[in-house]
Amino acid sequence: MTVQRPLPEARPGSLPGRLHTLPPAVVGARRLPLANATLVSRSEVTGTLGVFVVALNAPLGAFSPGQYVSLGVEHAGQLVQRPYSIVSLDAAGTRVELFIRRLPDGRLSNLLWPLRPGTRVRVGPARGLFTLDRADVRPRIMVGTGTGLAPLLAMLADSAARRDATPNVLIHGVSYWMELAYGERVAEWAASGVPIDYRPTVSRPHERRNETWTGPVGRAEAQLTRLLSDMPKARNGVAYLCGNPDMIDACRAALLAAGFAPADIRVEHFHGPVPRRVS
Amino acid sequence: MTYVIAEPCVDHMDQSCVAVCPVDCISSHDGVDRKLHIDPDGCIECGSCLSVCPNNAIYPLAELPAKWADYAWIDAAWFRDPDAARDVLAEILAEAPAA
Repeated sequence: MTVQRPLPEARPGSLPGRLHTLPPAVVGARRLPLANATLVSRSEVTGTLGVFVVALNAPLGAFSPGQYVSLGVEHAGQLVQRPYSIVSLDAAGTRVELFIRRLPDGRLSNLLWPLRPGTRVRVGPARGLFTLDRADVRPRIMVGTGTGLAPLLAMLADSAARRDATPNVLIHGVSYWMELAYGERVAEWAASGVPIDYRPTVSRPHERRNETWTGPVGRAEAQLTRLLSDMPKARNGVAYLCGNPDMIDACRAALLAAGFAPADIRVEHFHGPVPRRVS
Repeated sequence: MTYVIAEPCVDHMDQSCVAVCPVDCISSHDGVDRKLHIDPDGCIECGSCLSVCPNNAIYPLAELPAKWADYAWIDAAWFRDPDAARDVLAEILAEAPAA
């Protein structure tokens, strides 16, 4: 099935008249991209956080840790797609792991949640400029909120695979402790010798759902400020930030105040309805 | 609602938006076009392009400044009849006051 929108209307009289003779779109000329992957598993971290693994028909191709892919499912004759950062890609390049939040009005995420293993889906090529600079051996300060952890995990996995000795600090900010996914994986990397200082933090410690949490509390940016104060070496590092815009703005301000050059602050915004422009 | 690439892209054509588009819906022909174009039929409205454009040339269709309204038409038309889209762009630029 083909879906093609009409051309937007031009302002009256603003375009040369001959353009109105532009041939109409050829119905059927544009086809939906074919499904090229299969959902292997979906495991829930919480009711609104899930880990999805998809198997591709063919290797993903070029991928740099930190990049994302579009994930799409067909619905009502349309391919509904959203970009998601890759958590991991296996050695064969055909198994992709994604960490996804189900949003109340999420057009795709609400379609994804009921899917069963075996469902055919569409995965696009890896894209994005928020990538690990492997050649930069300065300490890395990584800050992610919620599913913003995903690209940072891909970067750490890459470091672990290369037995990279570059020190990493990973701050993961969540609202509720149950959302602290992947802590065990990070601990395994640390146990295997990857230099990771893992600092999870819960931003709503006084809510009942967090009453059993005894770990660090406060927003991710507060943890970062504390880190920069307590660990002067971190000030000579490079920062990777991924998450909600308020966190990114606050962390960027803290890093700049600590002497970071703007170029040493790498940022990936969540892809939301209100994207931020280049500052 | 798609995104649109407006006049600030003309003769700059920074490729950052192309590098971040997850569905490869931003195109131009090297050496022929003076701007990049977003295919409204392919755009998934993620806003990745807007967030990396160093020229602030990209807008959601609903927020496209009125002075650049024709760029929505140009982007959409380019994927059906690129020569017509180029002709319109040339006329618009010819009519535009010198910066």
